[in-house]
Amino acid sequence: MTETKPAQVTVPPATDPAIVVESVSKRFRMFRDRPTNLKEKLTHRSRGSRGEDFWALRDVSLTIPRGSTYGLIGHNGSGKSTLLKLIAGIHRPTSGTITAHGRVSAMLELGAGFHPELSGRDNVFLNGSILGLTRKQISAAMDEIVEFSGIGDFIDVPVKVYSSGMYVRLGFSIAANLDPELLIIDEIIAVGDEEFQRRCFDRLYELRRKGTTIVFVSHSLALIQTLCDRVAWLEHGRLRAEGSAFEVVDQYVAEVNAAESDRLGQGDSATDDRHRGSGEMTIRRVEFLDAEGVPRPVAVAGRPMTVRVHYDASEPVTEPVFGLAFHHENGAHLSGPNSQAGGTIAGRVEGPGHADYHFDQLPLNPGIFVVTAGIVDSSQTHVFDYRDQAFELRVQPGPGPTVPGLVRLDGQWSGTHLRPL
Amino acid sequence: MPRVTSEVWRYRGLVADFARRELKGKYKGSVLGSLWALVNPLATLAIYSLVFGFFLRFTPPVAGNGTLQSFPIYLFTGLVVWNFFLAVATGSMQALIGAGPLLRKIYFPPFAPVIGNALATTQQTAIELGLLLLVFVLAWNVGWTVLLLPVLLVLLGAFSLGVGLLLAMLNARLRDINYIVQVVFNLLFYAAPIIYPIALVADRYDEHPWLRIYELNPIASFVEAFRDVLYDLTLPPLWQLGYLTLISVGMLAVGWRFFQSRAADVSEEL
Repeated sequence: MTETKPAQVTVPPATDPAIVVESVSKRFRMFRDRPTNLKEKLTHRSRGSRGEDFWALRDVSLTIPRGSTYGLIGHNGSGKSTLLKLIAGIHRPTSGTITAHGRVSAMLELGAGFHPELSGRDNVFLNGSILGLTRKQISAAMDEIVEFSGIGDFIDVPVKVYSSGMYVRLGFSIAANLDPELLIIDEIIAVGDEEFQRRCFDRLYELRRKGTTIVFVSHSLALIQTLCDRVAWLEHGRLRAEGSAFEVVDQYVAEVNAAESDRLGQGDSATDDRHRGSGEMTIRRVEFLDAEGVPRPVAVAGRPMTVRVHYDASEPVTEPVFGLAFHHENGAHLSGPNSQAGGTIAGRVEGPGHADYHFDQLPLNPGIFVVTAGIVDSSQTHVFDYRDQAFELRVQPGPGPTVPGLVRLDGQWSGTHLRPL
Repeated sequence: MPRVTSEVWRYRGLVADFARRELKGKYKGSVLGSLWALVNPLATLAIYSLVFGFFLRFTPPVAGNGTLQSFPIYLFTGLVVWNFFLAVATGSMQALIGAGPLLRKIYFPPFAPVIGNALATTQQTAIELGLLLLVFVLAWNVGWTVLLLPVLLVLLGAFSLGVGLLLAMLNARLRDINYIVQVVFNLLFYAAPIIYPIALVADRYDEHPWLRIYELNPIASFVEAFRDVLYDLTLPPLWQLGYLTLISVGMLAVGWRFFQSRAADVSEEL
């Protein structure tokens, strides 16, 4: 095991990185039955069975620039959280070095340090000093913390009587209001009610403006793309890609989609009810294009968007009809447009091509939707290819006010007393 | 050594907060609050006094003022020393384990909860000691030797914390340590002249010369030194002070080094 000194303070070089991760590997010992008492330890020794090694991270190098917002993406078990823990100094790397310039404030679990018998106020002091602040600094931030958390008079009540919502709200308020230099967040933004979530985001944006370096893990790609400047993609403990948020997330989504269609492609089409059809024409993939015609993993509500269905006809087909279906993730069927009803006709089709379904203003509200794509004959009785709910469409908030519900309706207001704003 | 103190000093706020958390959290929700801290030692004192002083008629030596001869007071002097050592040494193990969920989420030096626990214990011992001193004043048994008390307290604190650091780190890896310690400490309690006068053992040195190792037991040595200063109003022999200094500083150094050598990885063990 290589000796490493965590978080040594050095003069920042010209590029001014906040965190430098240099060829870091982390090994965990996986004991099938980890001996935690002497009896087990002795018997294990005599049998000579040792633990197996599990490499959570292997040779990861990256530099997080000061003042940037940095996202970590990857599948479950790819090493994202381990990397966060190493950066926060909770574990130390097996080999390699991590250098952090600045005071780290880690939110790996909100309210982790609360003592149930102590009042909220006492816990703020305790948590603050764990994060490395003096009592004076914490006192100065106290009003802001209480105000932000919105728990009011409960601040002087033992936290054991808090609701779980109050608990995490106070936890977030502490970490985000103690003026951190480096803020580390592990997928915890989804706390509290909608109003509080909005305040969390406002707070994160404010910290970003102030130049706080923020590192976070999230499975919400929409969030990563909205919030992050740069993104690292980890896979099986190795760094797969690193770069600007849009590029890396696009790469990631492209691969996830490819893996998904591989998985679907391998299934027997006769028995797979999500993918059926006679196969003269097949759907290669479905893309969601933005106003510039660039495929995006995430669409923006109210902005131009095109659903592009790529197909390939292995033999000539006449007058195929392209159909789409939009479902919300809760199962509600929103709409099922097809090219025939839309007043178009395809003629004779052979070889590869694509069909577009275009919105000037995407009428979906922010959320997750699933898209079904199908190709049938002109009588709509014969199915060439059908991909049932195979394509995920994530919609993020766009410009202008949002109205409640799943979709935006295209109605116009007028009336006796109504006039345009 | 200066590096060690600066490291602890840097985190003094955190150490103090852990001590506060320990003290505040401990008796929250109980009506008598921190008075409970006194109930336990007083109950032990009462039982031992009854069994050993009254039933078994252990006679304590006459105190330094020439008139005081009370088994409970004699016993209390020894018990204060033992209770402090026991609370720091075993409390350290619980403090580190108790800080486990926190250590897995946030970085802070693992010694903070352990030293914080020792500070919290010190406050409780201060109450006991204050009560004891009050009794001595009322019994008119006070001398200049009491000036040595702070020195002995610092040494006892260093020794206990050294043992506590060592045990806490061992226990983090192997939870048996907690149970082994219970057995060993039980033996240690009877291997020190706490509930009986040291004369019981010293009188038999001629018969069994090997018994002299008895006085090498640091706890026995501490109890004797405290009794010299508080009860007998004499100064402990110089060799004993030297021995206590050596073993206290040594124990703290060993405990600290062992603790720090494993501190960086302890979050994976908890």
